[in-house]
Amino acid sequence: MIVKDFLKSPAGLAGTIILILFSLISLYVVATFPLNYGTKYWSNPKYWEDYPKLVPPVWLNYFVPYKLPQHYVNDLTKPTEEIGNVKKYIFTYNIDSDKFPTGIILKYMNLTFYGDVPVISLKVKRPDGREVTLIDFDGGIPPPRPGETPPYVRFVENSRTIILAADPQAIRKATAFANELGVTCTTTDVQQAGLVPYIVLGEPTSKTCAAESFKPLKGEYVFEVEMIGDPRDQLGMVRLVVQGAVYGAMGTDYLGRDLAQGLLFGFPVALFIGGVVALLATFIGMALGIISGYIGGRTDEAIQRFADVMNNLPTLPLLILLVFVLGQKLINIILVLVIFGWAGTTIIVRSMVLSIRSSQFVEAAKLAGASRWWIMRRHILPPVLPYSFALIILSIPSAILSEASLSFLGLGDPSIPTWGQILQQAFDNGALQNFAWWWILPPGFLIVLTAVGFVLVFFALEPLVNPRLRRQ
Amino acid sequence: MASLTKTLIIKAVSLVVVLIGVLVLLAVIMGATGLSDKMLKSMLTAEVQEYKQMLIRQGKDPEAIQKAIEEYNKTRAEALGIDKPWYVRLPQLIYRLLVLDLGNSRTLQSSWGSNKISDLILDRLPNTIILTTTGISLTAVVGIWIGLYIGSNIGGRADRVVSILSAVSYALPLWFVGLVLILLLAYAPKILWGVQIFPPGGMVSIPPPKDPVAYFLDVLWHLALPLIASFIVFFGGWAYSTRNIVFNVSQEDFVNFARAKGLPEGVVRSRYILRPSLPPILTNLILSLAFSISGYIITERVFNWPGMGSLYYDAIRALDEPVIFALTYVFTLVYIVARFVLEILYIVVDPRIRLA
Repeated sequence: MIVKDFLKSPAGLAGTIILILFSLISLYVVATFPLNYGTKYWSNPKYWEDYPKLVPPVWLNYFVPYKLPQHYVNDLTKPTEEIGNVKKYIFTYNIDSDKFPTGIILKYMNLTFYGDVPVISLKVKRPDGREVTLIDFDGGIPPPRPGETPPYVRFVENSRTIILAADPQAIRKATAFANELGVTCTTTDVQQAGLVPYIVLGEPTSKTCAAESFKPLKGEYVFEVEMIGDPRDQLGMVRLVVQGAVYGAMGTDYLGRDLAQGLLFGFPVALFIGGVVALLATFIGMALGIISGYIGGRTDEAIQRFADVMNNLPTLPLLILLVFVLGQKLINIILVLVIFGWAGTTIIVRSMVLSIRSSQFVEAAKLAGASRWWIMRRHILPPVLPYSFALIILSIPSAILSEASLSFLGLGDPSIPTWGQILQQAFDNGALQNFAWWWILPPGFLIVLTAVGFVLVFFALEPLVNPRLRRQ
Repeated sequence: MASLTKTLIIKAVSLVVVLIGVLVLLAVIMGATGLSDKMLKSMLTAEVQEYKQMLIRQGKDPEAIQKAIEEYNKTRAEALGIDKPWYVRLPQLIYRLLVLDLGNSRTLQSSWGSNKISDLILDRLPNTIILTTTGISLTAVVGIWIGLYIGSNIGGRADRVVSILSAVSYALPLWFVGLVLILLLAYAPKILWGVQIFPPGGMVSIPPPKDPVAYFLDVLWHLALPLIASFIVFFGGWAYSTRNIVFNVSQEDFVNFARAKGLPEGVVRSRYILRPSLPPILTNLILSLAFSISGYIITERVFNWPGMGSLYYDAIRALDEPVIFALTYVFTLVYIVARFVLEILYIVVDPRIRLA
């Protein structure tokens, strides 16, 4: 009956759909993400090293008149060609976009060698037939230590990573190549403006040494990684990353973090914080309201005065202060939100209890000799319960919004990514100045949408459970 | 009349109790968690360290330095009150606050370099009044006006729009709306088309215009985005709550009776509906204005607005205990005074209370 009435109202239906959708997403996240996702992946910049930094989502390509390159990652575990002591790892990469990729990274792991340090080089064959050798030999391999016996194994836990735009050798070679193309560049220019990808993957349109004087040379590129050494020498894995100018469903932030993942992880966290805080605060508020309203007298006076104080405090300043004092842990944030969340419920419930207290069934129970607790449990609680349930629904969004506010001030739990924290990092790391709309709008809209979902459900629920409104 | 005075006195006393209660609570929070001690100790260490450096530069012999430092340490500890436990030290602070001696800050300074907390407040309060109080007044006036209209036309299209807006109002954080407006109206035009329509933050341009008229217009220009944001967020809430108040009153029996008597609709509306709706609407307005003094902590940060909210945030970040206490006290005091003013206003505008 109530369910039917509830779903008949458009607000209730819309709210329920939002909340069911969000709960399903949360369940999916809880089932697929590890619990320590925040510390192990999200807050670990090393994990996001290969990802393009601060790029918009892939679907932006449908809305802009030019084409942005996708992210390219390829791993080779076996050499493509092997002639004697020369092993070649060949990657082919195709440019069909109108803009440049944001970076090129070469990685390898588990290097095993027996004699001298092997010579590892990187050469690029361009669609226009030119070749550019970016790395003659990799000088970053630690030579055998005194007393160490072959086979020598290197880069087992941490891979060898060469970011071409920052590697001195690659910068030197790229500068020479740029001069060959007719662009007057110095190594300092190339290094400071990060021009390596532009030079390697582009053709010049003017002589000045700037990103604008290159346009992408479309066609197929061959990246050739060559290892020359002992025939037994081995590479466990070679990876070529050409960082896209777009990434994933939601783009990336300044550390290259996939925002889609962070936003997904925010779903269960938001619902959890909102749910726990609302449940605890409303429960405490309801219990105190019933006691205050039914027992009356001094108890009532004391509880109401206290609720009055709590209700009149400047809430946000004290929330900030308390979290700052207690430390930025999830449990503290929940605790503080509960401390400041119960008073409103107590005042409302008390006024409901006052009218119930004078009803005849309570008088009858009293005359029959029922104890105070029995009356409170059996006669006062049931009529208060439905409205309290609605109040829980209403406190969830305010808890979610408060948590987001705290996070936005940098007071969130750093080990658990939330939407508010993503917004805070966006605000503090120049998302506005770089017009990184994909970094600011989605987390905020998710916060708002969650809150709207609960508010809509409350709006639909209130007339059904509030006796005063039902009459009208 | 005597009973009225008595009621007012009881209200006044209970409000003062609330005020003291807030301060005591704050003192317990700061004291029992050890934060207060921690702050003082770090200050003492810094002072003693500085004193030591000074003595060493004067080239005194190590033993004399050691002795002088111990002496200095003791006098400073006494001056800071660190030799006493927090439940002795903090009540003194509360007492000074209650007699309106706000004292000096430890680290924060006003824009002209004063350490007096009253100067700090004088420095920031006008800015907050320009932003928050203007925003609330503007939004409330428009919202109440529309709410009054809708309250007597329940169920119309405007009513439904306002109902949805009020839900949005509850769910939209002001600071996020601010962020979106800065992104779309300040940075987007500048980055995409190279025109600066609105400034991305701050209260005046740097350097500020010399001419007073230009200065005024410049502040107005900077004020535009925060005002638009607070209008978007709070308008629905004002209109909806006013609508509800008016609607509830118009359901009352005396309104039906007035209509049944055959009074013209205009008279029914102004004398029988609007007059009794006035006290709760006034309550909303005055309490919001009182709350506005504390500023919007996050929104001031988003718009880089040097108001009371950002002062409080700075005080917490800098662990400036006297400022935290003084501001909390001032915010609560303003609120309490507003509540008391309301009690008196009720008596003025509601004859049912005056004549009872």
